[in-house]
Amino acid sequence: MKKENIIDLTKILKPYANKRLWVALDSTYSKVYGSGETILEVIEECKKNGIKKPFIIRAEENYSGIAPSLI
Amino acid sequence: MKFRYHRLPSKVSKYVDVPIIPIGLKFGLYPCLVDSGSDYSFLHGRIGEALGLNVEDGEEVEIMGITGNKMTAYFHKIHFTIGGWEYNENFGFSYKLGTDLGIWGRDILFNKYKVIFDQKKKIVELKDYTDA
Repeated sequence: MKKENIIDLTKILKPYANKRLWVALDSTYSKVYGSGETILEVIEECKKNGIKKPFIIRAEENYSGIAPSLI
Repeated sequence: MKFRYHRLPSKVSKYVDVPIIPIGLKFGLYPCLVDSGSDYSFLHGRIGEALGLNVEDGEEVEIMGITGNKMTAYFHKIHFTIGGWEYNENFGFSYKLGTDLGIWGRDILFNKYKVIFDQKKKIVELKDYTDA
């Protein structure tokens, strides 16, 4: 089966999406370093744990509609 | 440089696949949507604060989205990386952005690189203009 190129964040963000938490992920997008209600909390948590280059994203239930799309 | 699309949750169709190129900021990597329709590049005001900026001290500009809604953005020159390459450019910071994702507009990304979308392979590629 052809492997998809996509970086699939749907599963890893799901537990955090209803509260719209900020989430720090590792470079493979498979491990959560930390989460919090503000980006500053998450940055601090990463710093405290010596993590230098986290990927930080705000988890949402719906990313459609950033550019015009169906709602 | 090639960047894979990101698959994100959607209420419309379970998920949406979007061209994202992470921007390297001092706290780590942050997802920015590649938006050829945007004149300028934007980050949410919250990201400006995380970078230590006094967001509203920047150059104030009124901008208008495709829906005609106006919002205020404050432009600041920031240091960032794209795929490890370092740059200093102006980003608009606004508290009224409809998303927490950053936006790569034509001002930075498209001026620096040939931007090639491969929607079938779900890849966005940045090429030097000097490349054949």
